[in-house]
Amino acid sequence: MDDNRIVELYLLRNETAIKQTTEKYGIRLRSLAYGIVNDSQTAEECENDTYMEAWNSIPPHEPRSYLYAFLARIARHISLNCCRDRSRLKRSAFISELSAEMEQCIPAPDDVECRIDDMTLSDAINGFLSKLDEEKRNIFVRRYWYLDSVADISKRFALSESKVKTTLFRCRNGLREHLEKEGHTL
Amino acid sequence: MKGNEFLDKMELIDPAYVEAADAKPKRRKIAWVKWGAMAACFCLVVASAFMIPGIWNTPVPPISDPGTSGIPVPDPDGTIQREDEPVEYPPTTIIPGVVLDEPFDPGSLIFNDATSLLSASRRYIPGYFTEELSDEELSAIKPNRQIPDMMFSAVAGFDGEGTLLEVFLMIDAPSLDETTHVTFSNGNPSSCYQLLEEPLVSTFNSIDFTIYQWTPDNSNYTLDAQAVINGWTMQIVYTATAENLEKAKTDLATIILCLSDYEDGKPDFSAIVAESIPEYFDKKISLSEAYSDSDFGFFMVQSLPDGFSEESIRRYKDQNNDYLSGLWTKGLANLSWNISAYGEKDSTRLTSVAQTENYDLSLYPIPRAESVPEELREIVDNPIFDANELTLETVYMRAYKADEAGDVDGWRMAFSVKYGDVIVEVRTKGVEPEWVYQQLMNLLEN
Repeated sequence: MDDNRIVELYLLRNETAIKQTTEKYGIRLRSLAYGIVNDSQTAEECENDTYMEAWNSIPPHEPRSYLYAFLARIARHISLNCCRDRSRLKRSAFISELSAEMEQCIPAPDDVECRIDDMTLSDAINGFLSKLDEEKRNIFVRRYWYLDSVADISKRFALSESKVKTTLFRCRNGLREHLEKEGHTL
Repeated sequence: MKGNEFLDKMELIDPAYVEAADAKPKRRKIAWVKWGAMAACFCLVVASAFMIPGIWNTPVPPISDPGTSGIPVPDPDGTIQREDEPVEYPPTTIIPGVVLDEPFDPGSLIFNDATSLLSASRRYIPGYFTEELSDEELSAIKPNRQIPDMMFSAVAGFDGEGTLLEVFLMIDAPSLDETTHVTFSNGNPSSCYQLLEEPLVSTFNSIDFTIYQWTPDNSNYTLDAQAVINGWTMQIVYTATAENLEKAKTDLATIILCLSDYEDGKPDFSAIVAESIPEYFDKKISLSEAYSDSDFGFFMVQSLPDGFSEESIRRYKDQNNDYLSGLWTKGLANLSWNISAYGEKDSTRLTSVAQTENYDLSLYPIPRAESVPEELREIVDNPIFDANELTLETVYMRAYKADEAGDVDGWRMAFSVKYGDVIVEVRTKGVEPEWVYQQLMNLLEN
């Protein structure tokens, strides 16, 4: 079923919307959640929570042309919070590692006076990503959106781990420089 | 804002970029992976036109003193050590303590232009296998001279008896645009180039390098430097585009400078020893022996279409492949039945029957090289269905008829079926879909 029709079902409060979503995107969403939480049962919970959140978000949202991205964003958010809340998953160390890497991108990490709004930040981040070639952009997104390990990224794109680490290092520096140049403080 | 919050803000990344990063990646040809997966093949040489060799003489930035700041480098376990702010080093900067034997003149590098690439496929090496090098083994082949934050990884290739044949070394560094691929082998290099005249040689530290520049389209370039070092052939390959060609040449010059400087007795290939030799066999067997095979015999086809006779049944196993396969023919018609273990590499072809765009050939008119979207090519070529989902209708969606003069009439099809952790791949010409479907269902019922 195409995304437009699935969103219509949500808007009509027809519960087959969930079934259709599960059939079309369930595997991908669970795989995304598993990649973050690294635990099958928890991934399943995150997947189910995603459907509930989608049910509560549509309406007012109508993600007719970007349904998967909409669901994936919810799943990522839920899975990330799950990792932070449940230290038994032993993923909190990995999340801390990624947070430390993200810290390198922030021009003025201690400045809480001037806060950038989400729309401006979105433009800044995506403006930076648009300048990268496809390979570098995919590596960056796999690391900081999908929260893949360096080893997984290396396998996915058939690159050496050292190449992946080097690329990420340069991208983080590049993002920080981009944010500084645009005059953003976070 | 702290790093934790910024990590959350990554959700603002454009959905198009998120989708693109989740798309099936295009296969990237890395030479050592391609060679490691080769089965029986024949030596094949292709030649074409000629070009006059050219001379490159591009100035390289002067060697300068290195900075003293450190660069935060992730530890192998992924933790980050926060040190000083990173410093960008010019590509020819040499680390402290290393002294050049003789002045390095980058302008002396000579690139021989070629438009013909003569690439030899290697003869079949029974039992060929690969192993990643340990840190100790890597140390035995690392050069004495290095640039800041130079990172090495390597894989060794052995024959079926554990004799080292070649080492594939990959080099990265923040100052390099691309990964450098270095192959050490005890034979000839795999790539040769056709020139109108004898190639000119560049010499560093008394080592003669023959350096080639090859482009098939004036857009993508291969820079290839070949030399003999400690009795082994060394081939350094660096790729570039027209846009970054000059920088790429500078990068290659840097790598050559490093790889021309080894301590006495190095690179020491005797230090690289196979940890274990994978099981290898390749045998023709009978049908009754196939049924008795403990791994895959259960999934062998239980009967044959009328008039088909056995061509061969083979049981093969090496480091990368483990399968039982049979081939039967009737004139120009044929039936191929291949059984192997389902692995991670197969997951990209797994599809549910609901996703018809992944396998329904009626959606993609011939020539399919033009009608099938690139991102679906692999799965449309040979989809894997779960046995519990397979229907006769699905089999018909995989079948087509081709009206080719001189060839057999009848259905053609190719697809695979997954039974737990085993997959059965069926390729047929001139066999009825109902027969194929029944054979596959018989395996499920048993």
